[in-house]
Amino acid sequence: MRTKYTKVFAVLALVACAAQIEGCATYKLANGPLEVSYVLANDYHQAQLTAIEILKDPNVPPMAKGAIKKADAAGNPAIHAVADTAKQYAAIKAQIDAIKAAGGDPTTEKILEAQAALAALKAAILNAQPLIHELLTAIRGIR
Amino acid sequence: MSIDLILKLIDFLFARGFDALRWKQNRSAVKAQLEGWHASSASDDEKIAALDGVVAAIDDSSGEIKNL
Repeated sequence: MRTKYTKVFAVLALVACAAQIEGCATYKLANGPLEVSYVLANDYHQAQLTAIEILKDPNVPPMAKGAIKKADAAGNPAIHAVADTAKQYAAIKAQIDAIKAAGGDPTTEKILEAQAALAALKAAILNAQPLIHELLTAIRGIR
Repeated sequence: MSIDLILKLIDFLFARGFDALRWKQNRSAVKAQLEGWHASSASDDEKIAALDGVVAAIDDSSGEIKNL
């Protein structure tokens, strides 16, 4: 049933959709593991900045603040794991690139090492994503 | 739809709007960074340095969250 609010909600939905598309565009540009790690860490930090503003509000109940702190206590090491595995992957990739630049062929062992490092990075990213969601859930529960 | 429900919906939308604006601004900055990397063929070392910078900022924020 169309009401006078239908157009308002349609415009709001369009704006939200555009924001999502821009978000998707950012992830589309992040087509490498290091780029994805960077975008993920940035997303987490932005969520933290919102959480800090909420924690400064004296009207927010202690239990709600506790939920945010708990979420961040779990999220922070997960982001560190993403950064650490990203560095390990970058280091092995650099070795392979150096071998190729020198005209050589990387050994099977080196390639397997790189695959394992990439798999570890992917696992760290998959592990971090729900923890970022936990922090956002704790924030949205207050708002 | 009652007035209370409409007011709650507007509060929710404003709250979402604030967060969406911050995230939209951040997405623009991150997108610019990624576009810059692609345009300049940034090295992995540069990308790792940028990642380290964000992780350091995350640690600072975690410290602040813990103390609030």
